[in-house]
Amino acid sequence: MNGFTDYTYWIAVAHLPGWHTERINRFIVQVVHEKQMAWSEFFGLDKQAWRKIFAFSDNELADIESAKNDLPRLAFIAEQLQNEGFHIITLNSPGYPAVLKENLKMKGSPPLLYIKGRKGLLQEDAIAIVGSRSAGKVALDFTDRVARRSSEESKVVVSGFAKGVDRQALDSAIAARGKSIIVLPQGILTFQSGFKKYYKPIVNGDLLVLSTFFPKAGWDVGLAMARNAYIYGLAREIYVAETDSKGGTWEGAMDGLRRHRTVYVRIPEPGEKNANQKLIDLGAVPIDMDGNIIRDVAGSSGELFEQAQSQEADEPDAMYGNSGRDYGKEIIEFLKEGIYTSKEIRLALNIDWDSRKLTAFLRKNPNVKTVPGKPVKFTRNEIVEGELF
Amino acid sequence: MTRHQAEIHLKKLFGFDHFFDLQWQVIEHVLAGRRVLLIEKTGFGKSLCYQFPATQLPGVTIVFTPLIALMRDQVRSMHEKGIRAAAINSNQEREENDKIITKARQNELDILYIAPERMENAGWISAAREMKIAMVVIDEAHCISMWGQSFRPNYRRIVNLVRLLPKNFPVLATTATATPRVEADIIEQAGTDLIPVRGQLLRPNIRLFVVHVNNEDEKFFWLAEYLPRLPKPGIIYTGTQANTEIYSNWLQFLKLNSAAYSARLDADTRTRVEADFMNNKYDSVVSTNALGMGIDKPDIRFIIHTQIPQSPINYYQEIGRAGRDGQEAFAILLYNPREDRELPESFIEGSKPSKDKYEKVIEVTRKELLGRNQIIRATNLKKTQAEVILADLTDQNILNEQQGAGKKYFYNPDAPTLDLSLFDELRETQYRELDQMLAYISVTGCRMQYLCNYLGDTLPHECGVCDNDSGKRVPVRTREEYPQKLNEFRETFFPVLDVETSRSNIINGVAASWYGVSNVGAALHRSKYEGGGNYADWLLSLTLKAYRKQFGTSKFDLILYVPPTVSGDLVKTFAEKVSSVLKIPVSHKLVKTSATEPQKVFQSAISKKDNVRGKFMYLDPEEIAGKSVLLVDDIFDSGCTIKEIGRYLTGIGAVRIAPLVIARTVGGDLSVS
Repeated sequence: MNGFTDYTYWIAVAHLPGWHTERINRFIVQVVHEKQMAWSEFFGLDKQAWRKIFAFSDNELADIESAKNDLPRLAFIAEQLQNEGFHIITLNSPGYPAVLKENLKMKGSPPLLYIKGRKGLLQEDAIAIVGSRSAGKVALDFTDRVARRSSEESKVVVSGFAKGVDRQALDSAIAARGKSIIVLPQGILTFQSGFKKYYKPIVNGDLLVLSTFFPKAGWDVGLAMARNAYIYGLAREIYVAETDSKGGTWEGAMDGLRRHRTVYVRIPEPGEKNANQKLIDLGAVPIDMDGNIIRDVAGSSGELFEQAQSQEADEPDAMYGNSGRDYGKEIIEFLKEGIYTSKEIRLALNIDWDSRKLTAFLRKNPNVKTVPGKPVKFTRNEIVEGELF
Repeated sequence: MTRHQAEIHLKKLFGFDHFFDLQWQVIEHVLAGRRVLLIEKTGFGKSLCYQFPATQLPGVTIVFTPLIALMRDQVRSMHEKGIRAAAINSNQEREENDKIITKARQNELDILYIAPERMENAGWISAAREMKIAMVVIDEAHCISMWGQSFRPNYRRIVNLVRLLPKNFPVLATTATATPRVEADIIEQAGTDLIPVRGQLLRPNIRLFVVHVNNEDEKFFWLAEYLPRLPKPGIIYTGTQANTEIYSNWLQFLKLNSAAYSARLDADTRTRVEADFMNNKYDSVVSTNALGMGIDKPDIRFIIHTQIPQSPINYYQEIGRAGRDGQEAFAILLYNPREDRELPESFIEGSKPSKDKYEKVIEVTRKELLGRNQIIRATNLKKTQAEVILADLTDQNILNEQQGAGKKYFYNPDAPTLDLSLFDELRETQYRELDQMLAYISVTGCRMQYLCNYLGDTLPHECGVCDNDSGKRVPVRTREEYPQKLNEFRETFFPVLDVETSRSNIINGVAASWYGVSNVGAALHRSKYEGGGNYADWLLSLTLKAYRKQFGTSKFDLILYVPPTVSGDLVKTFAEKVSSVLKIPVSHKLVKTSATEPQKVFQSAISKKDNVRGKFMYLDPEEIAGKSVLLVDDIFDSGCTIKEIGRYLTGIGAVRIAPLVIARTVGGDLSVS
């Protein structure tokens, strides 16, 4: 029972309005890890102390102040979650799945996971099966086979509870008495009917329901898109049943390739109207209906992204990726060597971004330190990320 | 805010010049955002410790209290002072509650009283999320503790909420009864930052007496002798529901003005008895401990216990309802050393169901998401047992509640194993407390000192007014006419079968006797289960006496009897005899449409109802139209069968159905209707 007392604060922090994930995570690392502060201590401080210790901007201070005022109200939500047996897994807790941090890093790891189900499932080997909501029969058949095989291999099948491939993956895993994780595109308190429907697999410890969003949030396109990253993030292997050349499945698969993760794609049958082949051309691994890897197809896997491999802790997000070159990585590498203006960076690396895009990237990236002056210069941030990542 | 500044506001708002030191100590903590557990006696002025801060803090102060009467009184008196107060509770119309919630949301209230069970209400939870809450108050905080004898499962969620509120958020828990153990438990549960503030528990105006009796009859004699002489009004506490009826009928028989009260009465009747008691329409109410929590009456002059309570905490709490106005009041305990230990011991033994019953509930909830009543059906458990088990399993995190249209119980896939050692410990504690209650009987020194010591309060001097201190006694006096009167009463006292509802034409019936209280039960048992032949004729004449007393000159057209579960003509023969004496025709056409299980197999009213629903029919239904029916049976337990037949006969046109039985059981799971 003791464990729950901090969660009101965590909920307030995790959903600070307008703060992106990385900013929230940096804030958490700063308070919990660097300052070794309990949240009750942090929220016991006043504005002045916050400014002094944490160098928040005025806007940020206002946000934190309003989160503080919101705490009594959030306590009611935390109490409901506790009473109804939901668990909250915080970024710094041992129960937080390591694979999620490895895959999404500080930039994308959700600060809180709200779950219902056997917690141990989060620590087990997982695969994701993804594909469009309107996937055809062949894709669904493929999904069914992969889910069943993975179940036999005792792997957890992660899916997003959308129509089509997602639901097929879930239903097949359950039918095979396998293990699954549902990643919700909504708050966990809005899934009552689902809990009723999947009561038995949840109680038996075969199914875990997970949400990263504010518990009362209803379904939303934005949440559904954001949710895809977590599906990919929770899995060690990614299977694409069917993808268009845009949309959630495509973005997720591309993101996976950029992160040098192995992405398996069902090799399309002649005449299929989808972008599976395109993904294979970009480096995804083609597999047949039974999940066996096909070696002799056009488009050698991994080639396009190989040169960008690096040990950097951070990867650029999709909008910065460009025709094979990973500008983000190159810039970070380059900045290790000194302090430069954005113009110098652009010229030195021969980047075809306009100055606005480049500046935005530099200011947003946690590894880049801004050196005030005219003109503003940038360098590698010396502060090593907290051990949380 | 300094004390001086605060007292200026105090004068202006409440009309008092000063706080007591202890009150200010608490208020200072609260205004500084700290959390306090205040243990002080009834009448001290605990409520000012939250009412005053409520007027000073921005936002609304939420007061959780189980006492609806207290809510009402406090809201009224705050209104008189111009303070924005309101209460939401189940006695009010929904629209009224909604209006108040809207006000709270719009920050138009300083203080809002709500019942603890409101935390179970999804509507309230979501409304509370939109309020600016300044402070949380937990009244009767001893209910938090399992060791406090008056543990209430719905306080669990308040405790959880308090733990989740931010640290600098003011919380005040108040109680008039907490032993050091309960105090420690409250602090452990609600958070270690709860600062205990303890006052004096002495109630100098309550005079404590113990009366030894040699048998149960002497309790009746004592009441006959002393009740007319005591100042009025007062409460007489009994150990069982059946006894509330027996004693209050005895008092009525003696022409004393009394009413019975217990959880067995329907809500309307309870409210009416409470209101009449508040308005001094009775000299005494005979009640189980169901009466009291909801009563805030300052001028109760005596509390008599005909049965020893389970613990000194219970006793202190129950007698604490007397003399809130500070005037002299009496607390008298009648004790029969031969018998009175049994009942509290059986309560202790029965307080936790056996292990296999817990396991049964676990088994069914693992298979399906179920609500309470579905669980009762699936396990054939008594409702009270099922409720205890569900509360315990929830507390042990084996089950979780799921709020929706109705509350369901979700099995936790990471559930720990059931821990029964806790129950053993609880049982041992309860036995220790009972021993200490029994020790109270034989105390030779000051009784108030004994109780205060038990509650962790050292009383430096004697109260001076208890029987031991004052040397005054109120021993049993057996006047010559008492035994005969009691006999007369017993022969004319017939338990009423309270089955009347607005949904059918059934009326309250009557039984010749209580099953377990007289030799009637034994006689029935002989005939029913030991092959003793037809019901004895003295049972018939007793039953006819009951009939005459209850129904007098009412006319009946037809006698029907409840068809038996297994073959046997006991009831049939009995009904025929009733028919021949009363000269009302008997009909044999009421039959079962299909076999039913014996009702005693089923433990809860829910399952009993299921067992008999739709199982009866009358062979020539048109015969029943417009008829007034006397419905005969031998034993009345839950009443489910009688009610079902009443419902059926109403449907085919009976204008009145009056039940007449030989005996009514004392137990009976009647709480679901």
